[in-house]
Amino acid sequence: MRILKKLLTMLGTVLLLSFLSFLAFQVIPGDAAQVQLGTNATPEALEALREEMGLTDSVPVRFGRWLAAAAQGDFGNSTRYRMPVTELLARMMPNTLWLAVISLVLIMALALPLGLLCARWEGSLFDRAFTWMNQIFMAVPSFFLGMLISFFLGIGLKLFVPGRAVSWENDPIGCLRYLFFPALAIAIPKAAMTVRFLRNSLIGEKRTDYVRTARGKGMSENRILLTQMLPNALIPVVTFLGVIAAEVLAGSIVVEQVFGVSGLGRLLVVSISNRDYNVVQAIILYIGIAVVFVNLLVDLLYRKLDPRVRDEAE
Amino acid sequence: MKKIMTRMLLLAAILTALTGCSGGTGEKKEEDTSKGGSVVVGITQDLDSLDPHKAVAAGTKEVLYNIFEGLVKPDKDGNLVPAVAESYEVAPDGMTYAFVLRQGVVFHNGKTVTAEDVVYSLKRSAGLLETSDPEVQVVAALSVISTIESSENEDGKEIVTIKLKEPNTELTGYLTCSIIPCDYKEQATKPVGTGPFVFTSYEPMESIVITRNEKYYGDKAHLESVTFSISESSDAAFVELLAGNIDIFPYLTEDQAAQLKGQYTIEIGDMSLVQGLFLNNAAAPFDNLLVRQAMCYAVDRQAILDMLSGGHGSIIGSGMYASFGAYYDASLAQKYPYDTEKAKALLAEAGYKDGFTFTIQVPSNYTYHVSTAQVIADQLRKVGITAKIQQIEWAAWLSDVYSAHNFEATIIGLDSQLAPSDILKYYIAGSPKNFINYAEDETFNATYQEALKTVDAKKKKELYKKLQANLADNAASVFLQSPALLVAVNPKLGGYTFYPVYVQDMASVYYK
Repeated sequence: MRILKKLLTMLGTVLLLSFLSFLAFQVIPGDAAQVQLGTNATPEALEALREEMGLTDSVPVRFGRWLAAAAQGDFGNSTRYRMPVTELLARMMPNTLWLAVISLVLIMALALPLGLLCARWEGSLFDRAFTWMNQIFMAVPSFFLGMLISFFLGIGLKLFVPGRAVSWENDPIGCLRYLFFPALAIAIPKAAMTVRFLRNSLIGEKRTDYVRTARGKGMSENRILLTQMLPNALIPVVTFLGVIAAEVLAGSIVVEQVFGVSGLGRLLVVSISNRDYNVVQAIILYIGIAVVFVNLLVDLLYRKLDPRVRDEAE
Repeated sequence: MKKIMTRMLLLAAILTALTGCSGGTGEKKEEDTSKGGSVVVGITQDLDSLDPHKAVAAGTKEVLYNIFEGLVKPDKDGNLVPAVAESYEVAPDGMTYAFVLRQGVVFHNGKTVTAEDVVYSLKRSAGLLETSDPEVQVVAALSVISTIESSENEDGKEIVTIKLKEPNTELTGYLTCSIIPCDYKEQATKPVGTGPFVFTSYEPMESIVITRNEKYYGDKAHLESVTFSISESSDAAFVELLAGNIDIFPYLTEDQAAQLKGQYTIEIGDMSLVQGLFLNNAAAPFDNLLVRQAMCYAVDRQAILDMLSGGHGSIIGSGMYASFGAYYDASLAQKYPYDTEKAKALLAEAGYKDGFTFTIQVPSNYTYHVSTAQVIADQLRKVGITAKIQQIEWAAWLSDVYSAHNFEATIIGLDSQLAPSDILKYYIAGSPKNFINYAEDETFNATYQEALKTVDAKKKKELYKKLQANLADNAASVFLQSPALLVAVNPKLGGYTFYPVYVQDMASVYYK
């Protein structure tokens, strides 16, 4: 019952989001017909093309039409690329999804051990040095980090060729290898935040009674940290990771641009400037669903991890 | 004796040097062109359509130039040379054009080009087909066509005859419009033309690949294949250049060119554009001739060239550039020399003693125009004018500035077909292309129509010079320059050629 209610709310959120993004295009100047015809446009030609593109109807009619088709899985054609939106998205999807997966794995792989180490030796030189460095990494925006990575690892050390993204269809291994570098640019600032979060959460646990009891019973510090403190400390971290996962799944718009990855983020930017409504609507819908879905997942996971939440609900 | 010996030695030395030289280059030249190979060309704009009649962006046309041809096509000197047509004749009254088609020209799908295809292609571009596709760009200049017919001459060659409603001696300049097969439906996804390269594949946002047309009727391309790789921006392309995975990149900034020296050969050409600070002649304060003239005096064009293109580029003073040869009036470039005192005096006379404030709207995707706006804003400050720069999206520029004329000033580059009437079409009163609302002088329209009809070459040149002088006298806008085109070319490549229109001809490029 609770799940059903949750699903209904999710549906409402996604619908509202779609409508708002549809509306946004009414506010900004320019339309698909204008972009297509460019400087050669005559008023008559523009009118004819608008008619054909179905841009002459009112906003509610057009939104209704889009919604009805989308509900049946028909997202229309891209006006710019002249192919079905689903086909276009299917081409870009693997890049964005793999980028998200690699980024998330990297975030965990970096944040978990570092967070534990910092908390274990709280106040040590390592902890202090790392906390200080963390501040810097958190502050560096991903796109700038991306440029640094391109420059030093790509052009300097020649570990990869910047801008020459490998397509998933031709060469899956090459594609993943290339995506490792943009994923690094996404992961480092987010990992830095997660380390800080995890460290503080762990240190908070250190002062609790159950840890003192465990210590009194002669448990080793390492065991206390891993078996007693970590499961408790992870609860807030999971929420935080959920937010990050949603963000990464939504397509790393800026980083995709820097590394020339043809993913959903880059497609979204291009489609907005081309006023390619169908593509934008479909991507927004995907992002909306991804975010809402991750939230639901976190919610469920939360209950699994924290019995208190579970009891409350029941 | 000794003298003779020395002389003979000298002679021998010279002879070997000479033969060595000529032998070397001769051999090299023969080897040059047959090496084949493939190159990667960086472009920064995704293609807006693969159908040549639907494409509008200059960035698309420069790529499609390799796949498609018209009845005629431009050569590097700005002449129109026969392509799908073998020869043509313009009736002395400028009312009839007759094109003899070249025999044995084959489309990339194997179909032989017939008069039917030519008639279809021309009608499609002129908007004369019965069922029209609204996405097709109707070439306004072709609207003078009344009928297009095909026939056969005594040698059995096909002839396409174009009859006009009114005399026009410049139509050939627009007949570079691509010839496509009449019964082919997949032009927008798998384009088919007659050019030296065949379309192979296209990946949105990634690349377009073309391969050599082995059945091309003329000189075949040297390269086996060319990949146009789409970069997100010129900065991203620059990183790829540094990494060495682009062979040719045509839109470098001066700074980038300087950094690439050594790694690449930098070729310098001309963009063949009228770049200008275009002023809305209907909006205050630019509805005042004195203010527009003051603006012209207040802008230091040479400084713009020096700052943005290392001094390259050619200054213009009216709405035409040097590629138009005999039609172009070079003297107008000096009409408004940089003179802040004169500018201030004109402003005072116009009632703007303390200057004024206005906004330059500039499309943010054209970094060169944005940089130009910044330089100009700085220069105008010296005469008390404050220019605010507002960067807008291309779609917004098209709708607000170009269509709705809702702007004060903008910076853009205007391109053109190889017909002088095409580059001056932006100033005809009442035309939707007249985005600056130029209407200072009624004589412009009349002279323009007269020039179109004039058959006499000398008279025609005079009329076009008169039109340019008209724009300059009335300070229609601040005409700046035809900017330099800085191209990075892999030093192993030869044959990169500049054209007076905006194209990337890959057929002439070869590995040395």
